[in-house]
Amino acid sequence: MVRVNAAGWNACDHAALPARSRLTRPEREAGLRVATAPMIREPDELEWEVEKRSGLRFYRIHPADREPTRARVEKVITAWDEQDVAIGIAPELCLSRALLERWQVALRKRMGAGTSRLRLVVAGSGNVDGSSLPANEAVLLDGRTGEVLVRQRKVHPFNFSHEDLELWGLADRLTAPIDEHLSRGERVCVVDAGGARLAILVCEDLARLHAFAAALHAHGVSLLLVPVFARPTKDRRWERARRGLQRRRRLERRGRQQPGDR
Amino acid sequence: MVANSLVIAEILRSPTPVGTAIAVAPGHAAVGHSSEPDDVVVFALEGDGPRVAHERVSASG
Repeated sequence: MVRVNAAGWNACDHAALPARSRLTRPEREAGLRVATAPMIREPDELEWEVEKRSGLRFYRIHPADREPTRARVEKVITAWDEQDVAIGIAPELCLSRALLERWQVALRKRMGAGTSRLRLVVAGSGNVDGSSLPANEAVLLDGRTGEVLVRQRKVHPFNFSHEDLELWGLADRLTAPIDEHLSRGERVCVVDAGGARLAILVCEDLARLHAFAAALHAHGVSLLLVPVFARPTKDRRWERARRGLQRRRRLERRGRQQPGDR
Repeated sequence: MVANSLVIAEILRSPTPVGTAIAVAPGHAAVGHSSEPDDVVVFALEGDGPRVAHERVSASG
């Protein structure tokens, strides 16, 4: 049992999953298998839109709903089933209204859905309602029925500087400074999923973890599911960056020392 | 648990496979790699930290 303080409780939304969607104790004790799939590689499978308003620029990226993207949904679900996966996660900006429907139908109608170990699927994130002021919303589905269990809006937009666009190779597609066109979410939803409490953070919200950390910690959240749209992940990038920073600081300190200081 | 697409890797012409997923636990981290958009990475979350239980690592590019 976790006693949540009032400040932590009031900072979050809450959802308790129905019994059929919950992770069971034997599943947890055996070690959860959680899987991902990139879903999209080709930039042309996305729409890249820019809107200018009051002298400011806003970008909006969303799936073009091409058939190759759609066809991957069934293939990925099959692979997750074959690997006895309990939770599947698709990335940020890989979800649209049409693709959400595809995920739901594919999960519900597949052979063996009733006996699948796949309990929960984050079907990626996107503007699933097609709003003109777009949300960037991750959707958690029941892995057996495709039912929508939780929707989590991105809270913090990711805005590109000149340096970001160069680093990401996007300088020929977007002009900085440019902000994410986003109808922001307000709170993070804590999901009671049986013995595990989980939360979904969309991309930049993980980078702003300090905004949510106290409330998530107070709830005893043990699993964060995070769809992102980002540069490739490098093994131990943070450790290398930290070692490099420490080395530079050592050199700077030595450089500041005078000969008589030692 | 973080899941990424291959879109920016493709734009940057990063040699595949590239890191598209990471599982982080206190004191532990495991990176999963992909080359194709339907390459599935599976992590096993166990008491001694996450590990990659399955990935298809076929180099290209």
